[in-house]
Amino acid sequence: MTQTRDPEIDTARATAPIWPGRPHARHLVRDGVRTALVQRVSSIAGAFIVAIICVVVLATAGRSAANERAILSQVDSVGTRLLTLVDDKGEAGVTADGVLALAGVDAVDEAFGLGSAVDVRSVATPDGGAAARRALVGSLPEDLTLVSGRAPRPGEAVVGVTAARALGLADGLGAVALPRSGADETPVVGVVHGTGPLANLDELVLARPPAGAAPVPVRFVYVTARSVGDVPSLTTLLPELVRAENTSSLAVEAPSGAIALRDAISGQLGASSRQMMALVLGVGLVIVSVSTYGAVAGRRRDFGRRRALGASRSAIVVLVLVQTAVVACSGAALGVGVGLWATWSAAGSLPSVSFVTGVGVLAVLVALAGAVPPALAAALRDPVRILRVP
Amino acid sequence: MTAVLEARDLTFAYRRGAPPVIDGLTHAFAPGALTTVTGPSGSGKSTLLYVLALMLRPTSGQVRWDDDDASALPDAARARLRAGHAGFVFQDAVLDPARTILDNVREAALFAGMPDDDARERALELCDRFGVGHRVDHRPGEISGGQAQRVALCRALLTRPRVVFGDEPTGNLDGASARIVWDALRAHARAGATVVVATHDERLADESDERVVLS
Repeated sequence: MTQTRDPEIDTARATAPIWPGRPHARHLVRDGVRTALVQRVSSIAGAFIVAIICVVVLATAGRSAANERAILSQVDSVGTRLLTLVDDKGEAGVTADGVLALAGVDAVDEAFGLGSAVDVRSVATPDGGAAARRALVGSLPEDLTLVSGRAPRPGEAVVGVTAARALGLADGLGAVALPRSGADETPVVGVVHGTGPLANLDELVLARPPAGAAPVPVRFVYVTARSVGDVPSLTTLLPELVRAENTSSLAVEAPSGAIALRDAISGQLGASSRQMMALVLGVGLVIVSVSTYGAVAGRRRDFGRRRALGASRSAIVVLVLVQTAVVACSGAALGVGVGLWATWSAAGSLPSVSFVTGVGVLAVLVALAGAVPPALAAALRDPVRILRVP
Repeated sequence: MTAVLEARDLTFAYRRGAPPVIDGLTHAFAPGALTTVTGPSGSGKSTLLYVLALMLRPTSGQVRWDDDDASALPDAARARLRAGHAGFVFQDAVLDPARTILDNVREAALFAGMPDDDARERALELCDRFGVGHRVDHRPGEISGGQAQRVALCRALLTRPRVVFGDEPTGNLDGASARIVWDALRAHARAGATVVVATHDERLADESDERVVLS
C-alpha cells in the first residue's frame, strides 16, 4: 500500500504528543461560565432557587438580625459603653491632664471631665433662678446635642436645656456669675441637650476654664469605651489610666445591668436567627441538589459527548461546579437585593453588612455543596451507554 | 511500521457471565491505514470502537496504544489519551444544540489543552474545507444532518489526532455527504493517522485498507 503523508499530521507526534490532553483550568472555568449562559432555562431556575434562599433567610433570620441590631442599638444608646469615674470627696486629685491622657487610650472612644459644682445666676436676672456650674474638661461629648448657639471656647460656657429655663437663658446667649457678688462672670454661648446617661447634664452650666487658668480638680470623669467588650478591662484600669493621686477615693460606675441585658438579648435573638438560617439553608441545599440532579440528567448526552472527547471525570465535576457557582452568584446577588428590600419594608431596619455578605456567601456555598452529588453522578455515568441511546 | 493501536486477545462482555460481544480479538491497526470494522447488527462493531477508544475497559485482553497497555490505565490517563491523541465521529453528530458550529468544533480543543488561537484557526480552516465555513455562527438546529456530520468530522480532526474512530459515521447520510465524510477519513489515514471505522456499508468497506470482520 502506497502512503503519501500530509504535513497536517505531525509525524513527531508518534513519540511526542503536542497536546497535553488536559484542559487549562481557565479554559475549563470559561467553558463552565459559557455553558451556564447558554443553558438559560436551568441557569435561571437555579439562580431563582438561590435567590429564594437568600430572600427567605433575609426575611426571617435577617429580620431577626435587623431587630437584634435595632434593639442593641437602643440598649447601647442608654450607655452600655459609658463608664463614670466619681470622686465623691474631692480627694482623688484627678486633673485635666489625666482626663486628656484617658482620651488617648485605644480602648477609649471619648472622655471628658466635670469639676466641682458652683451655683450661678444669669447676670441679666440676678434675682432669678440658679443652676450649678461645673468646669468642663475636654471637648463636648458627641451624645450631647447643641440645641442652639455654638460650642464653648476657653472661658465660655453652654447651658443644659433645664438650666437654661431656670436661668432665663432660653436662647442660650448671655452670661452667668456667682450670686450676690456677681464675680466670676462667664459668657454663655449655647444650649445643649443630653440623652440617656447624659440627661443629667441638662441641669448644668458647663464652663470651659479660661486659657492659662489654674488647674481644675475633676470630680466626675465620663468615659465612652470603643466597644462593650472593652468595658470590663476599662472598669478595672480607669483609676490608674486617669493618673489619680489617690485611687482609693475613686469609684467606677459601670453599666453592668445594661451590659447583661445586652448580652441576653444578643444571645437569644442571635441563637434564634442562627437556627432559622440553618433550617432555611438546609432545605435550600436539598432543593438545589434535586434541581441540579434534574439539570444534569437532562444533559446526559452533553456529558457523554464530553467524556468521549477526552473530558476526565474531574473535568466534568469542575464544569458542573463552575456552572453552579456562576448561577449561584447571580442568584445570591438578586436574592440579597430583594431580601434587603423585603426586610426594610417589613422591619424598617436592615441587618449588618457582615450578616448580608455572610448570607450571600453561604447561599453560594450551599448551592455548591448541593451540586457536588449531581456533579459526581454526571462524572461517573458511563458515556457509552449514554451515547448509544438515541 | 509499529502500530499505534493494537487489540491483543481482546474480550468484552457487558455483564459478568454474559456471552462476550467481542471474543479474543487480536489485531494491529496500522498507521496510515483506514480499517473498517464490519459485521451484522449486534456483532459488537460499536462496542469494539468504544473499547479501542478507552471508553470501555475490556473484560480481558489488552488495548495497546504505542505499545503500552492503555486499557489498564486509570480513567484520567485514558481521558488524557483520548483528548490528546484521538478523534471520534459518532453515527449522529452529537453536537451541543446550544452552541454555535464554531464552538462545537472547538470543543475538542478544550480537553486537549490546545491553545485558543490555534483551535480557532484550525476550526475555521476545517469548516471551510468541509463546506460548512459559511455556517460557523449558526447553531446545530439550523443546519442539515449532512452538514452536522461534517461539523462532527471537523471536531474529530481539530486536534490533528493520530487515531480517529468513526461509529457508522455515514450511516445517516445521503450518498454525497457520505462520500465527503468517507473521503475525509481516508485522506486523514493517508496522512499517517490510524483510522478505524465501524460500518455496515459493504461498498465503503471494500474501499478500506484493512477489514476486521465480526460475527
